[in-house]
Amino acid sequence: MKAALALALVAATPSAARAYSELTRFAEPAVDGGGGGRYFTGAPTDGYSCHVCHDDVAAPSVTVTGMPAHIETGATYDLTLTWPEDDRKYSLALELVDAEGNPPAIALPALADQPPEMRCAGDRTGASAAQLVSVGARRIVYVEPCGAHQLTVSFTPSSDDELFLGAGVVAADGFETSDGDGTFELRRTLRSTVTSTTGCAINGQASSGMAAALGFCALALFRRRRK
Amino acid sequence: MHTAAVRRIVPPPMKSSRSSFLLGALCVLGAAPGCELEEDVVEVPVADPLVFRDEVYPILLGDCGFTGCHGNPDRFFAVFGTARARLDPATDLDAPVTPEELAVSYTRARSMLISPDGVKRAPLLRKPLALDDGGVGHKGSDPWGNALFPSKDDPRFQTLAAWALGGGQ
Repeated sequence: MKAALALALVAATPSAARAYSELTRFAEPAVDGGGGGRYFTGAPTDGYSCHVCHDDVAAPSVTVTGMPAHIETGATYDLTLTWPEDDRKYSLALELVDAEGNPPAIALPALADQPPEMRCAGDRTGASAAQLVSVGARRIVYVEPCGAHQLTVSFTPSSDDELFLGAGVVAADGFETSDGDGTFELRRTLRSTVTSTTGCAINGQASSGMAAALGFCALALFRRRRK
Repeated sequence: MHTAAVRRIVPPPMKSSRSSFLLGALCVLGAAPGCELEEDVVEVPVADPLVFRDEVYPILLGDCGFTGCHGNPDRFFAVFGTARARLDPATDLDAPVTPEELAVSYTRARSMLISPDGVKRAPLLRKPLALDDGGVGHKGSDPWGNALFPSKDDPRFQTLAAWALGGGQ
């Protein structure tokens, strides 16, 4: 009975057998081994990042520089992520969107301006490891696992709206399974005023409330001791 | 003397010859020794396996079948397939879905349709749905707090609901 069920289910199921390390795979249907439209950037447009599949047993040390504390309309910011230069295969997906899912102006340095660290095999004359891909309205930065160990990306907010940044770095151990890999995730909410640069709702109002609560507790303790 | 309810899970009346092989997915829960039994019958929705294969499985594999989520045999609800979690770790990552993977994914998904309050309130439909639209919360909401299905209008939710409700209740 079980075998009959299994056979009935699998009959005429489409199949595919290709590697899952190319950017084009993310757009392909999940049943064909693709991402089903997910690029795993970790931005709200994807939700999930690389961490949903890849292990976190050996998280890479990734340095982030140029992260603005707040953003201004029309200003350009250069964000740089640098990861170790070791034997693991590093890939990266990054995306910036506003609350409507629209990206700001975003760009990679011209190839001539890209340092060896941004190029495949770290070669001064090598191809750029980074690609800027349009998927509908989305603009996704993808770094293929070809030996680069740095990404610099520029973005220019076109309004005062919040921007949501998501990025994921996978450090693959070279084996086919996701076991033994490491991941690094970056999520930030970038606001046009100086409040917070994280996704958490810790702002001035919340801090005031916390201070009031602490004051109340201290007063209560003081009165109790006097009794 | 304790009294325990034994939930006997039975299929709905068969409506077509295709439904006959669904009996393979049924199970009966046992009772602890020394208990008196009260029988409470819960129907397992028919949940057409062909609709599952063609319409539902692609959604579940694409949105749930990650190794860190429901691509895990230890989870009550689990889904397996190509380039995601494999039921047998020895299976090539890119190999086509196996009959066993599809059958297990079907059985696990169908089990998630069992609810004492009816299929409309079954975990498979309510857990991935936004709280504002009748969801019950789900660890798989993304780190920004967004549920997998932002509302019942989401085409993926509608596909799941049509499959869940189409056969039985």
